Amino acid sequence: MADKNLLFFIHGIGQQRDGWIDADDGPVKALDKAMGLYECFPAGTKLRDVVDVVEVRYDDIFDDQIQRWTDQVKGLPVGGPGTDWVAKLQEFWTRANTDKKTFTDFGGDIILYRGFDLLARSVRLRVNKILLAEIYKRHLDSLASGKRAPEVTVVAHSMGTAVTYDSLFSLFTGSWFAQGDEVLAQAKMTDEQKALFAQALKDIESPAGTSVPVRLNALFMVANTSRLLSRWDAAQVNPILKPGAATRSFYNVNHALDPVGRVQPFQIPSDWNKSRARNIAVTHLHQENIHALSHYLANPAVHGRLFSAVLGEEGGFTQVCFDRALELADTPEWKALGGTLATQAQGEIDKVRKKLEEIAAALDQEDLFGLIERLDEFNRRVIGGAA
Amino acid sequence: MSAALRWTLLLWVFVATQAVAAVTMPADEPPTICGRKLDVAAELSWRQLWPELGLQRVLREPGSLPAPEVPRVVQGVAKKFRFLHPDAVGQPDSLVFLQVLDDIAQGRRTLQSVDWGVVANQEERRVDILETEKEGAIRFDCKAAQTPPMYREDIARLARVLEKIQNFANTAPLMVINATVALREKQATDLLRNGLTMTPWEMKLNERFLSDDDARSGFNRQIIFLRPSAGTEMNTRSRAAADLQGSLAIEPIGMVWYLDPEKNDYREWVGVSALVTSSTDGGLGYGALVRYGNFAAGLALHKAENGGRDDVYLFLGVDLMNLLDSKRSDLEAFVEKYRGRVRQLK
Repeated sequence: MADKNLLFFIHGIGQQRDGWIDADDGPVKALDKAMGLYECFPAGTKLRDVVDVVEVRYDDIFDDQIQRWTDQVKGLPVGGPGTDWVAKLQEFWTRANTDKKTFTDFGGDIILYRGFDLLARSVRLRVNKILLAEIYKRHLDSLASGKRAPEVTVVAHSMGTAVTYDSLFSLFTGSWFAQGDEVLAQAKMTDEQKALFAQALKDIESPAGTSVPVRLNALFMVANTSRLLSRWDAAQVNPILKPGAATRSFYNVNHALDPVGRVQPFQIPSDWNKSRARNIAVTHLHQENIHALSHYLANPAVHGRLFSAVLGEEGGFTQVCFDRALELADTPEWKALGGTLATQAQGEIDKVRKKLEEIAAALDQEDLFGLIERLDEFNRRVIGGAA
Repeated sequence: MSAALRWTLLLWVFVATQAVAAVTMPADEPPTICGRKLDVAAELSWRQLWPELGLQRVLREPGSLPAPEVPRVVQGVAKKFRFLHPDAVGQPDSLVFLQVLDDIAQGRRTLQSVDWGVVANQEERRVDILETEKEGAIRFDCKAAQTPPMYREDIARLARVLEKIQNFANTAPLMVINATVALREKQATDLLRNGLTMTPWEMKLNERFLSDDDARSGFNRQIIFLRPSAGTEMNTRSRAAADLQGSLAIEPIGMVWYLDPEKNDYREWVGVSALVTSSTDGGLGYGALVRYGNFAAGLALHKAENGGRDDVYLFLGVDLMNLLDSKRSDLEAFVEKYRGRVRQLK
């Protein structure tokens, strides 16, 4: 039997920590819980028993940059002629650095990613480095064992959808095979590694004609911001990422009341294979923070397709279990109220629903600043608990 | 040579060649079609195909199939299918399958351009093989009751075989792209972490040096623009006014060149800039500055207030000041030792 397939999680806005995917409100625990709904999984089966899970982190790139800007202004002298502006700069960056979480939660990450291509480039390269390092390692393992190489699925969330969209475009269009001489000269390699690399360059024969040897089994774009935040035009990127090209299946997952996916929502192009590219629109209300990745993954409409992608019949997720997931997705619990909210008084539930509807509806601008405005309100009123 | 010696030598040669070809033969992993795992067909097992396709001769460790070998191997797969199913070669799915293999063998498309996965689409209740833009896909409808004919099942088995051949062909490009991405990621991180920190507006300006292609290297020089920094100034003309004064410097324009950035991880640079300084007693000064790493020094001309001679101030960046300060006790000891020697000579 093949070894376990690979599942990557790419985070969105806000500060993450190492191990964010295993947090109590993280995606792994949400999927562990979801597995309990299906007879395909023996009791007690956890996600990591059946899939190799990899987290992708890039928020430290933004943290480090804020720290550098803070240090840069901290040392500037104040008090002399024409130095008032210095004091203001120092105050701004000190506050941003002290309360990085608030800075990033309220759209700071978006400004840094979208506003500074040097930072965005570093993010793209980080994401691609993590993806490729794991894929290549597992490829070598499969050669040694004789088993099939793992299939690769990526789940991206929120701003991570734009990061993924851009990173994959960069990966599939970059001139990676034309840099061989520079890599040999610049990379720190042992002589043996250099010899292997030089041989590999000969074996690929035609740098211009070599395509990137990666195909994603499935790409899940959850609370999709790619249309708004990507630095490239969709007309350039979509032909590269469509099912049949870089991906086999593409899922555009959004919640009706989540403000994040509603500013310039991603549209699946009409020429994409309809049986492989799907919109999944969820409406369930199981907690106030409907934007959380775990809230999305809890819905059978989402996790059913995810289990199908990463496991399928060969991995033990049978057609019967897949059908069960779609049936569950159609029940009132997963169309509307459930989870922790279901036990609250009706008045409280109505207040939460009304709050979310107000935030989703209120928008002055359908652009980057509109998104930041919505995020601001969502964070204040939902995460922060304000009415 | 006796027959026994001849056979012994042949045996040693055989064993030696097997030791050289150390690539692992793939495991037989036939696909699952509509919930039914196909069995291993003997003729399509790896034990049979491995020598037939000549893979053990051409694969390099750890399991890399050089691109020039791909057409021949793929032709071997097509030949196998024709041999097993001579009566089915005219069937629509066979035609698609053989056309794709022929295209690869003739160089009209690459092995990687085809998806060899046996892809279960549980939503549509079907299994797709060989999805291509031109030909569509070979599909198995899981809603259909009957078992597919053997030639279609063998197409599925061979798709799995070709997936593994593709895996071998992917080794070299994966190695290359993995190393290249890792290098560029390191360089991008080194520039930000180790290089001269850019202000936000300098960052926007320097982005113009970046290519849209992330595979290409970043930049080796960096524009300085309206860059504020701290330092001290000292009047070089008036001993009475030669106190060190804190100074805010702005470099309106300048350039920094990284020295061998790939080798030095962007830790070393030299630069030159125009300079505007502002100190409490000297007022505004104009001049130029040079830098080596974080050490910067310059000269600024401050206009005399009362119509007298303009004064030239020496500007020292804060890192250079700190360095000199830390070396001061060594410097004083050196000067004292030098003075002592001079007295002795007298």
